Amino acid sequence: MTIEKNTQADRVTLAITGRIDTTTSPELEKAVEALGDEVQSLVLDLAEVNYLSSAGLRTILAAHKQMKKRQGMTVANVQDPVMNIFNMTGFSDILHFESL
Amino acid sequence: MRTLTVAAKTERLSQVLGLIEQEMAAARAGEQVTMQVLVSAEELFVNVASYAYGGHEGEVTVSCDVVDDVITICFEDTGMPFDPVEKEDPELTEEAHHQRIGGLGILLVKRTMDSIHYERKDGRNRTAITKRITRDE
Repeated sequence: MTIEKNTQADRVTLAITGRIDTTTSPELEKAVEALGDEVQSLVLDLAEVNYLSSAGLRTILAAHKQMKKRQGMTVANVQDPVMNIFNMTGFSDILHFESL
Repeated sequence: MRTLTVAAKTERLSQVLGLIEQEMAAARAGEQVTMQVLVSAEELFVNVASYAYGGHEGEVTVSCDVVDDVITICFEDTGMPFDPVEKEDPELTEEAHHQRIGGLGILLVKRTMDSIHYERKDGRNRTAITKRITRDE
């Protein structure tokens, strides 16, 4: 997995490539935790993510929780098989999705 | 049937998933069903790696077989008895999601696989999942 960080004023986009699984999700967790207080909104761009397991779901949920106190988090450009995992677990009702 | 025995460590995850991925590719499985099978296998393997041996060294044997377009994946270990099927499903409300929920991965296994079966026999845990393979149009 690779994470590319793009900052525009108080909005940060983390563009993730590869798999978000048990072994890689701690890296995403760190990237989200490292966001400064000035960051008001977060976009997780999953266009290049082809695999998401429950470890990834928990990490994304933690990010959602962290950003809820600010302007929120958007999960963007999700591929169909990954969307299926969000749907199967009810996460699609909780998170905000967009195609950018 | 293909079989692989590895140390029960999460570092071995990609090796285990690699074996299953090859089987799914050989069966020309579609993208969605492949991901569901891999995610379920990850959950069961990580469960064994995290809990079965209580921090001690141990091994897991993974076997994988496709017969008549149904894939069967079986995990066997000699660790503590653990029935993943018995685990209660987490509540899927927003409040529940805000806690650090366990059981989420097993829920995914139950919701995406056609069957999950656990047995404890001769000091071994054996958990098997099956899934009918579908193909992309």
